Amino acid sequence: MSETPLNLLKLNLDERVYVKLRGARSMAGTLQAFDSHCNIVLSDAVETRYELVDGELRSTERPSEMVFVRGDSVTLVTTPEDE
Amino acid sequence: MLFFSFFKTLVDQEVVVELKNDIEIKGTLQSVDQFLNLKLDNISCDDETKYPHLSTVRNIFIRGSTVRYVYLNKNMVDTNLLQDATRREAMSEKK
Amino acid sequence: MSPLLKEYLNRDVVVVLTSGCVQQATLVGFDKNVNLLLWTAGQHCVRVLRGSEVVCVGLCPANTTATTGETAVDEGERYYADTKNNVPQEHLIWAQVWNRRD
Repeated sequence: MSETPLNLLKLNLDERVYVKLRGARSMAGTLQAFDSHCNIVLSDAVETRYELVDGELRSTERPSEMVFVRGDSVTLVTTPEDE
Repeated sequence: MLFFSFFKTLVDQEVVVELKNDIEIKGTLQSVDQFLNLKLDNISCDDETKYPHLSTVRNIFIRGSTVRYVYLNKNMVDTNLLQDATRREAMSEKK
Repeated sequence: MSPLLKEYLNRDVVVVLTSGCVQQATLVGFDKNVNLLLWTAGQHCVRVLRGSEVVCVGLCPANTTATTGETAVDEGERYYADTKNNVPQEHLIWAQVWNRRD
């Protein structure tokens, strides 16, 4: 009964997930696919890019209906707190 | 192999590839290999002046490792099929 | 073996590197790691470019060649961002994102 962490992601298929990415970015969307490299496909996704302008947090959002995210950018996959 | 197969189903479709150096390239997916290297045909960039060296280029090879995102349209993807394929892939990798 | 670059053989190409530099040359060879063999007419030499340095390889249209230099490139110049995506003080950004939730 030992499940690997990535195998447990199966349970989140077709559910909303929050993905943290390298380079001060994150992406929330519905999980459609993933593999062992953490390559991911999300639908109805919104990417958020964060930056500090004079110590002040700014974020820009970019929606996309379907997006492939390459696994080497992914640092964390979790369920969103609320949307 | 899941995403190799996935990208093969997207051949001849128009996609937008965002690279890790922030270059964004729109084009028709011509071919893909097992490293997820992509070849795009008939490419255009949203702002040609930003990428002067690519302005005359119509066909481009992209090394898979430098891809950040590939933006797709919903109608290109059968999500039920894709989720099933993901479950099967996850099963087969469990030793 | 990646056959994707096969139809670029002996054609003029523009190569964007991970450093942000650009090179223009004739592609005379490649392998599965995308290591490239490039020939530059002006320098009369063939050189090897490591695949790990390659971002993308654009095929120059047949009528514009590297030798005529229609889009001349300065190989030292960093035209594009690099691919490292190092955001200065990224941890401070995430700390603020975390704090904003309350």
